[in-house]
Amino acid sequence: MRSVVAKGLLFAVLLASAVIVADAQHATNGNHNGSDPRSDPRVGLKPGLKDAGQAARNMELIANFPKPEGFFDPKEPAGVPSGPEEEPKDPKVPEKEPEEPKPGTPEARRAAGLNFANSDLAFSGNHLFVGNFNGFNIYDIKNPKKLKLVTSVVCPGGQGDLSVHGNILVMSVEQTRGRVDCGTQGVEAPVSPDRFRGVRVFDISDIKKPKQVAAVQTCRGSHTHTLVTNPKDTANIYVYGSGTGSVRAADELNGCSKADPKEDANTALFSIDVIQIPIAAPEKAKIVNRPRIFADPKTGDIAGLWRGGDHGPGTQKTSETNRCHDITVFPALGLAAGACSGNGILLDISDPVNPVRLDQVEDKSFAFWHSATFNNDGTKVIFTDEWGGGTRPRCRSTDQANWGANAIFDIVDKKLRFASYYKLPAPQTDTENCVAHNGSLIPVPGRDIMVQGWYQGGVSVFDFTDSTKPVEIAFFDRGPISATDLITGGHWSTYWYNGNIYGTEIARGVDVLRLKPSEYLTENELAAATELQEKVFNAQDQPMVEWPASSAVARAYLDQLTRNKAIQPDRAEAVKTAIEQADKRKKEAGPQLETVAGQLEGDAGSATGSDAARLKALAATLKGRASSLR
Amino acid sequence: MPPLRGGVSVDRSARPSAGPASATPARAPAPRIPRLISWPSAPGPRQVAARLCVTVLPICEIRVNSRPVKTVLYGHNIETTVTRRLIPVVLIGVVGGSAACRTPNVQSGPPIIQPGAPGQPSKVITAEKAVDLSQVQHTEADVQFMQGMIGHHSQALEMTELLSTRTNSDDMRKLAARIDASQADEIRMMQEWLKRRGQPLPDPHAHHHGGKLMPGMLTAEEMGRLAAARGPEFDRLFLELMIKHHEGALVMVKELFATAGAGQESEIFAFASDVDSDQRMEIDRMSGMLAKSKEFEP
Repeated sequence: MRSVVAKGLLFAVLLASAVIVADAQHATNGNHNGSDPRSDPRVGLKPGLKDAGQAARNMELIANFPKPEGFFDPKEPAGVPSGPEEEPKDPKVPEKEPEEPKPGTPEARRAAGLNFANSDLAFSGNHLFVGNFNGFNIYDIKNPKKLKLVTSVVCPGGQGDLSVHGNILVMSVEQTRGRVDCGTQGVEAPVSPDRFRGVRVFDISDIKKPKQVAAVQTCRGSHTHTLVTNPKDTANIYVYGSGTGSVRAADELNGCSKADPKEDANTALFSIDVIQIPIAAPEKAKIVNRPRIFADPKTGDIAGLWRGGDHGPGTQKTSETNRCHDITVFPALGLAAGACSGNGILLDISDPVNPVRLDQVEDKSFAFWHSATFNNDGTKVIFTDEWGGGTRPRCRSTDQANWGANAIFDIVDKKLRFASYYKLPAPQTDTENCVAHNGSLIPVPGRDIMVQGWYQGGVSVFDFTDSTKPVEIAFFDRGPISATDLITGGHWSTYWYNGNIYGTEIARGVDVLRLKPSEYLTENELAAATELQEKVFNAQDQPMVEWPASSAVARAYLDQLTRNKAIQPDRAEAVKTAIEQADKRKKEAGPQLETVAGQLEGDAGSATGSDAARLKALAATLKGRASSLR
Repeated sequence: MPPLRGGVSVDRSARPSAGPASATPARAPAPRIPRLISWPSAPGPRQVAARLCVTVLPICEIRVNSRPVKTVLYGHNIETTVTRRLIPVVLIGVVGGSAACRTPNVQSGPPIIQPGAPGQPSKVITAEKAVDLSQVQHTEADVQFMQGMIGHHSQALEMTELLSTRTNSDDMRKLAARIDASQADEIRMMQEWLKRRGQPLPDPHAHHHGGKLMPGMLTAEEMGRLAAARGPEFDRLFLELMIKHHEGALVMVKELFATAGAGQESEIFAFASDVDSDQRMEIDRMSGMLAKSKEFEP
């Protein structure tokens, strides 16, 4: 009897130790401080679709959710490789490629294997909407470590950019294979009523069964779109449709013309589409304007901005401004920043149907003005340059540091003033498509911080509070999908939403990341950002965040002032004590907060720049905290 | 759950996924019960071990990156964090012959919805249908377009090759360098596109396609005239002929999109759209240069 039990135990122990270890590379999470790119942990990561090496600093990947069935090709789950960049085989091709990088547009959007690419993201309540060239997926994100797929919708046509507003979901379609009925069979006839290129509107009141209620056809389709909410017109939402594709024939869609503006004043080039969606009757969505926002105010020439080409010896070749690639609106200030292929422009959108151009900039390093993000008070805007169109490797050590980067501008008296460039600091391989792409702000009070996707360059979080000196504060990166082939992949969009960072990986699904406290970002700053809980987020309809007068926010400001040595130690101590007392609901906390707030206001008088602003903000927060105790 | 490695899927209770298992402690979608194991490729020792783990052995733990991702007990998935605490208890259970933790937790993915046209109802479709691109694959017209465009671009390179010894203008040199770089890059892209689809690569110097000279292509006589010209005369002729040549490419794009079934595949759509916008822009610039050069004509 005894021996039998012993055998049983031994057997169980043996079984319990049947441990299978897959040889995935350990996540690198070094404490490396130097800026030498050669020692950056992102260099030399192991390639692989599913088991690529990872490097992260001050942030961590908390979960990855691979693309669900219906959104990858079972035969080629990673996607189709695109051509190499080097070794020309054609004898006519010069032996040595000119070091001067190749022009922006010809290679732009050489959309290799993008049929099932994940694209942009939108958020509403506990739902995450993930765009895909083949349709979209909706996840329940109540538990960010365990997303639950709620809905898969197939409706091909690319790029599948999404925006959400209440029960309305808006989607971009640009390709000629797009069909009005969401069919996967494409459209055979060159001219057909079945073809759909434009903006789809879905009713998602039954989240598990979205229903298409409107399909607004446009001449160039919709490469991206921007949801525009207008505080003064709550019965409608507006959509700025940005079409970058070819103009379709007039016999397919009446009035479409691709003629030069000199030949046809009604050309579909040199405009954007303004679409109105009545919230109570979304099926009545329609184009209400095609404003000529690139016009020369003096001559009236609708082709009034950059006409394409380089800017002189050694400069980048910039696309022509005949369309916008993406527009970010900031309704709180009635402003919009347009990334319009050849220019960055600033628009007054106080009347969203009739945007008025306030300013425009060119840049000698930009190939293709791609997207824009304001800081929270609307005093800065970051434009991205999608040099190479997103499918080419443009972060190699041999690529020019300011090309394919972000350009940070200050907004002074509604004019754009260049401040600096920011490019992913870690060099990537030539099988990693990489260039500046989509991101959003991280709402840390008192600072300007952005999280951004760089395709296979990974995720980079940087501080641009000083617009002349952007600094990377966190990153996450994987090795290339393939060591030998350039397969389009990586992070399309990475956006902050209620404490987590969600990223669409073109080939690898959805990533959920979380920032960690570090020398660059304290626990209190992170807590203040996380405390803000939004009900909806569309990155291109940028909200102006207002922080509550909470203890977390006060502590965040205090940490920043301490870090900058912009507050006396005894004053800092007094602030700390007053907040602690308030949290303990002590009777004396109110007067203490009021007193120290008054002192801080005095300190602010002798301080300068962002620290003066922080002292004032801290004082106001403490006062607000005091009044909440009453 | 994602495949472990080499295409072994340990979970067929839900719709399978494409992505990585190992990148993170992939506690990814909700724990599910491994029901079946499929073998798309020849099983290796690890796969065999994984199979044993989920089918035969009463308890085992799968680790990735030395972190536990899945614990299987009597063929059932159980949460790893819980497991750690439970293992001793479970062991006793195993010894005592008790079938602990058998509560199933089945969860499958939602159906795939395909909306109808506006006003029409949405329906449910199969995954096979969702990924069926059989009707939006490249067509014969797409292949011919790519093959023809290689020859077309190559002639632009032949034209720019003449330039270095015949012009005195820096602007012209810059223009030629730009055309060189962009057309050479596109030729490589088109060759790759054809290769990947098992289509023959054309002789880059073929000027004819389908028996007729492609739109905008220079005749031998025109090439001869260009080769014989020098200085400002060369510049003007070069611009005129290159504009004509580029306009031909626009015609080719237009014809492509006017052909039934053509230009549907994502790559060819993007490429043809790029050719259209890029060459249009180049024509604009060259027209400007040509107008300027004529200002100085006697």
